[in-house]
Amino acid sequence: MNKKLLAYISTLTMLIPVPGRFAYGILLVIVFNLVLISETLFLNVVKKFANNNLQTVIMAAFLISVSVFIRGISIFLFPVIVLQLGVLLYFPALSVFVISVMHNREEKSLKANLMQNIASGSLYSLLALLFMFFRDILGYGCISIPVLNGIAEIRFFNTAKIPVMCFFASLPGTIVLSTVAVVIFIHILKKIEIMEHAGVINDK
Amino acid sequence: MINNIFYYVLISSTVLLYGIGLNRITYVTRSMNGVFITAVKMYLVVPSTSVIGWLLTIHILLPAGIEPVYPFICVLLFLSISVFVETLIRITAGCSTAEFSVSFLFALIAINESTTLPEVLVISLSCVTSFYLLIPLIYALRKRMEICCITYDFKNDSLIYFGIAVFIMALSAWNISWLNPGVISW
Repeated sequence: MNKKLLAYISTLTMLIPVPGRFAYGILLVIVFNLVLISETLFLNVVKKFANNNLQTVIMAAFLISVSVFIRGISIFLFPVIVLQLGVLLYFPALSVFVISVMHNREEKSLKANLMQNIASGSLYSLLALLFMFFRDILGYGCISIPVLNGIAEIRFFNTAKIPVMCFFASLPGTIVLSTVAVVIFIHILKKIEIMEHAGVINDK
Repeated sequence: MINNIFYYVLISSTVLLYGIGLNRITYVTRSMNGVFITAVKMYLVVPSTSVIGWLLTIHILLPAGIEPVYPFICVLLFLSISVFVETLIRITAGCSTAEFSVSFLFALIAINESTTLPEVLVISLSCVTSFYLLIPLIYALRKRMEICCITYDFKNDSLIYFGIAVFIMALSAWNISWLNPGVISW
């Protein structure tokens, strides 16, 4: 199984402490992808003049500075959301750093690295957005989207009538939901792998 | 001060409620080898980074009006202190204790949520303690699960996360007035 993809999936835990609103998920996914692309481009430059140990130090400082920069822009666009997220806005940078240190040391061309990271990042973003979507629906009975002065809601049902649903808005509920999502996703990946080995579907 | 210690260690544990180190704790508990050395490093690096970072933020960045860049200053500070301590540990103990994300986030939390210097120190130490207090619990849970016959799909730390969810509920249960109307309604 693709270990890098699994590393991406494990970073789903970055979304656990985030309030269970879709709007926050959108912002974090955007930050994650921006940091990931910057990391891929900068790592290509750093690899040319720094050894592995120095690369790690430079990349850590770079990723945090990119996060500070993105946070600065986000404060202008979504001040309320950034205020509520606080330190959590640095989580994507640290997740990208862990993935980078563990899996980006192979010698590949910039184009190949960029394509691979965009593909894995897109799959991760889709999973993360689906996760936040279900959290918002189950926990709050609505979908929220980021707007300039906070978040806008599209309400589907009143969760006060089904109090047990509030569990999914809480932290333990989120952990249970994320674990179930990861188990299902890994199960599907394993089935696909078995089918590839058996020649039922084409293995690239 | 005692309130801060209880708040960050138990009531609002940095690992359980802030989610910092959730991934790391499942990895660390696979083997208890080197946990003590890692703890020594974290207990040295996090408070020193937090204290120096807080002093720099309050006395240099804030008067200059550039306090939003404090994470960048902290990461530079953290890396220098961490590399120094790591070198000392490698020379003396001969093992690696490389770790970045969790320690750095602990330092950020301590700087972000404190108003005085003693508070920075207490919060940073409490954050590290909350992390190492959970390790024996999760390790015990893991050992217990190894005895049980669990299905293949749940062998990738999934049940550990369910266990963590139960820990959170157990810690928060004392903070809920269960006899209020509506708490147990269906």
